[in-house]
Amino acid sequence: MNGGLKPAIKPRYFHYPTVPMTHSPSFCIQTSGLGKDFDGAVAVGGIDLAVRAGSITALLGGNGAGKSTTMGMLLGLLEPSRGRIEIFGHDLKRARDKIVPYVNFSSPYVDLPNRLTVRQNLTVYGHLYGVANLKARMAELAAELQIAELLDRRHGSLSAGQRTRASLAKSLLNKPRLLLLDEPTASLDPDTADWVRTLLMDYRRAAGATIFMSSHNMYEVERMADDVIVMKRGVIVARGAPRELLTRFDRSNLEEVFLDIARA
Amino acid sequence: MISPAPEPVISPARLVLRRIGGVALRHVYLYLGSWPRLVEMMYWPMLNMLLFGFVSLSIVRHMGHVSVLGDAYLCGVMLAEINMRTVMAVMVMYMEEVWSRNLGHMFASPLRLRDYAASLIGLSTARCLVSVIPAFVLVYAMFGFSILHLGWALPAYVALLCMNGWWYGFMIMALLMRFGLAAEWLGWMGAWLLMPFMAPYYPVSILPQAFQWVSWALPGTYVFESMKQQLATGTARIDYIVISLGLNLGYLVAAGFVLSRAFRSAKKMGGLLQMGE
Repeated sequence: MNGGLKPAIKPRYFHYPTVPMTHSPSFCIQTSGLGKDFDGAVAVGGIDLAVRAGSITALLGGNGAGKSTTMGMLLGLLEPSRGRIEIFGHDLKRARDKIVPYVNFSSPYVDLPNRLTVRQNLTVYGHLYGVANLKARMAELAAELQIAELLDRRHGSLSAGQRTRASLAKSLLNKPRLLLLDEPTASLDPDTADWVRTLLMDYRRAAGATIFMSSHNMYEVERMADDVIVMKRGVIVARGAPRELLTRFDRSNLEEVFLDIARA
Repeated sequence: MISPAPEPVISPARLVLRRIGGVALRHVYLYLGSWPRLVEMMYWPMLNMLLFGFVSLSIVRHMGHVSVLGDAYLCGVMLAEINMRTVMAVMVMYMEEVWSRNLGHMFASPLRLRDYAASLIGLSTARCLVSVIPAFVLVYAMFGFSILHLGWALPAYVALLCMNGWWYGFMIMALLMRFGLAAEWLGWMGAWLLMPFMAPYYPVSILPQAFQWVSWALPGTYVFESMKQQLATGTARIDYIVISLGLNLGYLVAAGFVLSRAFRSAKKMGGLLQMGE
């Protein structure tokens, strides 16, 4: 079941204008010595990230590797214990207000209000992100994400696939230059998952956006990611393009690379 | 560096208003789509009014020559309801975000804590008025008592008790933000904690001395004392109204500070990502 999705119709984002930038930095995200401790235990231990602008970068790691903590810090929802985060060349701590209107995220673990309809949730977040011409933008997204028939249904009544599309609509409302995705296809059937991947890749291409995502799906990472960062116990243990990693570890797919690293 | 202005440009002041409006819409949609919430909002004040209205009636029947006592009692119940409903509104609306695990989405957006607090001030006042006005109409219909007898002082009393509710609600919210759902029951208990000290139904002088010190430090106490004197003498205490306003403003600033510290603490401990059922 994919909630009435029509995979034959490919999502299109080619008419989307991009947010004006006075200067395009080479890196969308840069961190130096970024770390986070909880009650003295190190969750992330001083990582240096450099995520290329316009790339799709995947953050991999087993449970407890520090992926969600890293995502939380990049979103400004978690305060780092040490280190620095720069997004679009701005310090996140000092210039949050300049950065956040151009960032958005989606995560299966951070819900939208279940009692509100999809339209109501989009309206609320459209206001929070200061989206101009909100009705037109919602109509655009409804068409692109094929959620027109879901708009007046409560978020809590949607299937997993439909919720993912509704959450994606929220995450694309402000035409983000940086899209942070936590397991974007978790709990989706292969058909819907493939549709979502295609949509995200098209959005990246059309809007020139950067996508930084965590995933446990190695097929997805191989298909989508330009760069891969592998974390283990709070530190980065490998990074590079998928092909580079395959060559370096002498493996035929990323799943084997992941297992080599996880079991080392 | 990116340009700070989104496209098309919306003025910063309008962006702030839209963010405040966004939070307000979220709650308006929630209440309009949930009749049990709407009913619950009006149910408790009406029940309280009925209960205490009959208590007041029995006071008047048995002590007819001091009917002002019954009026003061009923008036105290009505004004106390305004204060309590505002405190509860701030707390419940924050809890709605926690229960729906929505805090992460909200605070990853351009919404600032001060926008959120401003929205809660407006929403809690509206929610309080929607809660108490039907109860006040009921009191008039059942017992022939109208709080409008307080005249020009009534809007001042309502505003001061709402202000008292805002800062106290923010203090409870700070507690919840700092300690998460583990503190939910403390929050419910805390919501009622100040009421005995504010002496809504009895004179402050009846309290033990130590309690009286606490009592005179609370802005609500001055409102209730002024109301009692107004019913007895026909004149409101303007000095009490001014003191209450000053105290409320001081406590609002303090509550804002405490709330911002709690917000930072929640960010340090991961509370914004992990809070939820």
